[in-house]
Amino acid sequence: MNTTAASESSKGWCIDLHDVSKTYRGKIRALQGITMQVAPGEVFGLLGPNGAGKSTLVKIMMTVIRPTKAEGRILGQPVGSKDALRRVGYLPEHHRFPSYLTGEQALHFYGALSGVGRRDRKRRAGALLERVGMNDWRKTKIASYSKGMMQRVGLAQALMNDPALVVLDEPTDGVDPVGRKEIRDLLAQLRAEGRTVFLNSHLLSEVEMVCNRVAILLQGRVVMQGTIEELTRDSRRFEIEYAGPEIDWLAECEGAKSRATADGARHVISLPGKDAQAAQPIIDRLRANQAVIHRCQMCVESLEDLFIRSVRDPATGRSYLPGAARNGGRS
Amino acid sequence: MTAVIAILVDSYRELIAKKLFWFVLAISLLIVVSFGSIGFNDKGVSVGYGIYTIENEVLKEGSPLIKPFMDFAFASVIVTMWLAWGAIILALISTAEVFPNFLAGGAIDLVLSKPVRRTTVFFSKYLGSLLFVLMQVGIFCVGVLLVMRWRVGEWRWAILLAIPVLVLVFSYLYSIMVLFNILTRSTLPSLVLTLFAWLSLFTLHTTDGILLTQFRIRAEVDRDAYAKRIDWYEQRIEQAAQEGDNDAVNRYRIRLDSDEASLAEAQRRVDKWTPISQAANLATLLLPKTSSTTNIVQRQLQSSGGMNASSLMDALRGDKPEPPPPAEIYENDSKMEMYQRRDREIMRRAEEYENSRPAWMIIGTSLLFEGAVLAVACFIFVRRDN
Ligand SMILES: Nc1ncnc2c1ncn2[C@@H]1O[C@H](COP(=O)(O)OP(=O)(O)O)[C@@H](O)[C@H]1O
Ligand SMILES: [Mg+2]
Repeated sequence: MNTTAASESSKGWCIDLHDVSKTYRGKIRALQGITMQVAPGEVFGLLGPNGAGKSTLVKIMMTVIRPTKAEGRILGQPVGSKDALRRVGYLPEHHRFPSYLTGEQALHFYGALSGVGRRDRKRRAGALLERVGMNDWRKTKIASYSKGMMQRVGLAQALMNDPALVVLDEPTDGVDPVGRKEIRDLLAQLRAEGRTVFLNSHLLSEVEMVCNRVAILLQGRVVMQGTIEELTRDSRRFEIEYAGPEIDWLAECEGAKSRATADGARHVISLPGKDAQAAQPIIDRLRANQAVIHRCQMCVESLEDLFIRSVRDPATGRSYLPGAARNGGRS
Repeated sequence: MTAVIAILVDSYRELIAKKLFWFVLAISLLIVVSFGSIGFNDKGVSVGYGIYTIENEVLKEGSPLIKPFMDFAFASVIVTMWLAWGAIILALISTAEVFPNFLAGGAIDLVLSKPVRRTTVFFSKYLGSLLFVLMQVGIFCVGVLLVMRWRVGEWRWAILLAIPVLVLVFSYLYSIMVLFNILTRSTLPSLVLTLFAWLSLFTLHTTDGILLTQFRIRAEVDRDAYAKRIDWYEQRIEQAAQEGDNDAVNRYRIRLDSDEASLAEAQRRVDKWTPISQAANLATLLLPKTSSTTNIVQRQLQSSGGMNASSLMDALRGDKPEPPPPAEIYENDSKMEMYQRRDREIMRRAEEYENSRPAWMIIGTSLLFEGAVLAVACFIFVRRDN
């Protein structure tokens, strides 16, 4: 791809990656040609099992490691340039702040490294600690913080430079359920403020709750990418659960399938699509046959189902082993 | 600039958060207090703030030797023993974990993700660790300066030179440690390797010094002494021949012959040791010179109205500063006097040689080495990729 075309197509994307590859020493192919786009103002979720390469991708974007190969732009700047990073906030996975600093000093330190002036730092540090609920601990040394508190201060740190793009690697790692909810609320606020959020996580329900769009990474490749709605569209169906014998006229209804429930006492008919109208004649016939209807429902595959489905090897029916592809991995 | 200042401030916080920092400071203050306890009254030297007096004829209130004595106590005892060894070892221990902690997984990622060049990060962090010695030696030297003002009655500003000099000496060693830090990413192996490197440097420089003073200069001194004696005997023989004193002529001739053999032998030694000493000198030329750099403080104190160590010692012993005239020695052929003269001469020439090497060259060549080591360390740091 020539550069003008690349920068042309970059217009409008907050993150626009083409063909990003990374081979670690020891021939570990952590990323094998990632192409990924994130629009401004959205919350984007990057999913994948352990070792899929999520952190590797984020580290390449944050110039922490060098890609073996990469094309693309972040906030309009080429990947690997330090310039864009002024407007990016980052929370690394398993981050550790120097334990001799207090929460407030840590915010000042990282804020200053991001090029934020003294007065702005002072103002923002207070506001952000308040925002993540760590105001009472601002003068306490980080050595005495719990994992969850570290994570909160880490999030505050990622916002010190008033970033246009916030990149979070497993932000809810080690945080209790209440804290997780607070972090989700914070992500929603960030989106409302017009910031783009790039979120790495293996916690699917969480991602489902906050993300507009997701990509699923597996052994260094993107296997799916799109809005949750797009990705689960095909799995949408209408289900009717009834008690009674299996019906023999189902073949007349196009695409309909029937299965017994786990205890075998009832049956479930599922119709593809999200049109409830198509189910009405079936309900009528079931009722005419004295079947007792227990449940009528629009169903859609959860992100978890989708994820499990996508990390399963279609050939063997087993999940791929965790970790990067070695010796070429799956082809 | 904001980033550099932030890293320096962070280093300062890291250093003062260490218990060892306060421990070193406490020792320093203790030494300043002990140093301040040395006073002078009409009977001699008082120690322990007047608790005890060591009676001395020469060194007492009003003596011109007070200033060189206090200079000597500072430059030769305190600087060489505490600052250049004890304090620097403790500083190396304190800063051994700075880079490993900084490079640890989870800590470095965030720093590298900031819009700051990696070289800037590296050198700021490096300079930050030098703050340890800067603060310690700074506080210490200001304390000594005050003591000197009180005891000697003069502001000995030359004392403050110890601050940059000791920071320099520490920086030679710390650069080596940072390289090991970056290669091993761990604290203890780096510290051990650095101390070992220091010991090796010390051994090399000591060997170089011994070759120079005990072999080359000694041979030169012998040669020059024999040459002088031969001159003197020749004059004597001529004089005795004129006077017709055959006994004397014979006596001197025997000595002259033996001295000529000795002269030839001394010249052989000069010819043998000069190239070896020069080679050793060349080998250490581009290595960091910790002792010579430390010595600059002493040199500066001497040249700003002090006294060198040997003359001070002579003066304190009350010895005649002037050795007996050569004629007397030659006439008596006293071995004892000759050896004393020789050792004194060796010391004088060694001192002269040391002082003849300009400070800028000692520091410059050491900094060249430091720069090369840092360049390698920085290169590896910038290239790091996981
Ligand atoms: N520094 C490294 N050196 C070699 N291999 C690495 C390194 N970091 C990560 N990997 C490997 O790269 C793959 C992807 O790792 P990572 O990006 O951390 O995955 P994720 O964040 O998705 O769990 C894993 O197989 C991991 O073992
Ligand atoms: Mg990860």
